[in-house]
Amino acid sequence: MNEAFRQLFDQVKSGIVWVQRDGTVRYANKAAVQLTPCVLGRAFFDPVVDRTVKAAGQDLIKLPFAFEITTQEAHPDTIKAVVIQAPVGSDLMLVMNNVSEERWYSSALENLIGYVEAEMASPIAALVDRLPEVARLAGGGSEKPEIAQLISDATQLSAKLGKLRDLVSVFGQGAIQRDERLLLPGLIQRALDEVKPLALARQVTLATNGLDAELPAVYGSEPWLAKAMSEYLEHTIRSAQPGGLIEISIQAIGTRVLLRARNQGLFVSSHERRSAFVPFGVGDGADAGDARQGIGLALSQRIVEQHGGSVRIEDDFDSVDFVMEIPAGAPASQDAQLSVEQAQRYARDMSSLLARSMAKRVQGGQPAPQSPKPSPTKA
Amino acid sequence: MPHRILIVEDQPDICKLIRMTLEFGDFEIHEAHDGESGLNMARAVKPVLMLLDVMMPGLLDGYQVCQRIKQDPTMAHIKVIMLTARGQASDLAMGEAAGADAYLVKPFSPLELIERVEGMVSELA
Repeated sequence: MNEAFRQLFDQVKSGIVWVQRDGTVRYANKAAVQLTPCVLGRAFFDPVVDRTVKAAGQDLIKLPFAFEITTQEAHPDTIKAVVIQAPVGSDLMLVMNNVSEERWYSSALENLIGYVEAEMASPIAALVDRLPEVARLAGGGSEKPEIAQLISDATQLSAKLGKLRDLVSVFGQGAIQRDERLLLPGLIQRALDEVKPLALARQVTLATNGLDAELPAVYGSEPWLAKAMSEYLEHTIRSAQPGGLIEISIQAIGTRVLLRARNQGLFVSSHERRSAFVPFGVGDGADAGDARQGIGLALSQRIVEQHGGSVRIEDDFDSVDFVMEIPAGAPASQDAQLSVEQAQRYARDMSSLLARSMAKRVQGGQPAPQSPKPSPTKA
Repeated sequence: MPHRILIVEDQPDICKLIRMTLEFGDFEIHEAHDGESGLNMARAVKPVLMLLDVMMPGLLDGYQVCQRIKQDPTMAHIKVIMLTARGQASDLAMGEAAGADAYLVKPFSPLELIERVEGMVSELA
C-alpha cells in the first residue's frame, strides 16, 4: 500500500482495514485492531466481518454496505462497520467506529438533562424566586459583611443555576409553545432595560436604531424569546470593551427579521467564535482560571433555533456583529389537526349546505349546481 | 354579476374547504396564500369581501393586512372576516382594533361562514 495512505490512515480515529477482494487483510490501523482482531495476510477472524467482506469482493452486495458487529469481550461494545471501495485499485476497505461509546456519552447527557429537569428545576426556580425576599429579611446584610457576601454569592449562583435550568428546558423538544403574536420592538426594549445595569457597570453605550420602525409580527413564546434577547444582549455587552459602543439595529429582510448588535473596534478570534455557542466551553487552550463564556449565547441560540431562526457572529475588519434572525410571521408548518377538524365540520354541514343551496336555486328558478366553478386567480 | 371574494389563507387544506363552501353561493372566488400577496391581490381585484387568516408566515400577518386595507381609502370599503384558531378575547380585540368586520374561530361552521358572507354581501347591495 502507498506510504502516504498508510500515514494518513494511521492518524485516523476510526478503525480502517485495507483488504483484498478475497478477504485477505493488507493493512489495518491501530484503531481497527482494537475493534476487531485481524492479522496481515490472513482473513478476518470475526466470521460476520469475513463473510461480509468476501460477499462484497464477489459483488454480492452493493457498496457502501453498512453492518454492525460486536467486540470480542465479556461486555462487548457495538461497532458500526462500513465496507467501501478502496480509493485506488479494486481492493476494499472496512471502516469501523465504536458506537457504544457515542451512545454511552449521549445517554449520560440525556440522563443529566432529565435529572436536572425532574429533580433540580423546581428547587432552582424556588431559590431564584425567594432570594430577593431572603435578602430583604436579612436587611441586605448591611450590618454583617459576611451576610452581604453570602447573599451576593447566592444571587450569582442562582442566576447561573437559572440559566442551566433554562438551557435544559429548551433542549426538550416541544418545550416551547410558539403561537403568541409578538412585536419585536417592545420585546427588545424590555431586554434592553434588563441589561442596562450591566451596560452601565461596564460603561458600554447601547445605541438603538430602527426600533420605532413598522416591523412584521413574529410568532413564538414571549417569555422564551425575551430570555433569548436578554441573553444575546448580555453576551454582546460582555464581549464589548469597557467604554465601548454597541449599535443595535433591527430590520425586516425578505421573510425574516434581523436584529444586529454591532460592536465597534472589537476583534473576535476564531476560538471565541467557536466557543461562544458551546455551553460551558472554554476550549483546550484556556487556563484553568479563565472565565468561561457561560451559557448565555448558547441558550439564546437554542431558543431562537426552536423558533426557526438563528444566532451567529459576523465580523468586518473593524467591528463584530452579533446577529439574531427570526422568521417573520407565523411558523410555516401549522397544525394538521386543525385541517382535520375543519374537514369534519365541513362534512357535518354538507347536507345543510346542499339543502340551502337547492332551496335558493328553486326560489330563483335556477338549476342546482353540478360541479365546482373554476377559480379565476390564485396567488 | 357574482360578488368577488378574496380568500387569504396559507394552509392549502383550509383554503380548499373555504372555497368549496363558498361554491355553494354565487361568488367569484380569488385566493392568496400569504399576507403580502393577499394585500396586492386586494388592490388588484378589488373584492367586496375578504376572508383573512390571522397567522400567516411572512412580513404581514392577518392583522397587519386588515389594518392596511382599512387605512387605505381605496380599499377601506372591503369587508374583512378574520379566520383564526386563536379565539381568546385579546385576539378578538386585536382583530377589532385592526378594523375587522367579523371574526370566525377555526374550526368554524361552513354554514355559518356562508351565511355571514352572504349577509355582509347583501348589506352592500
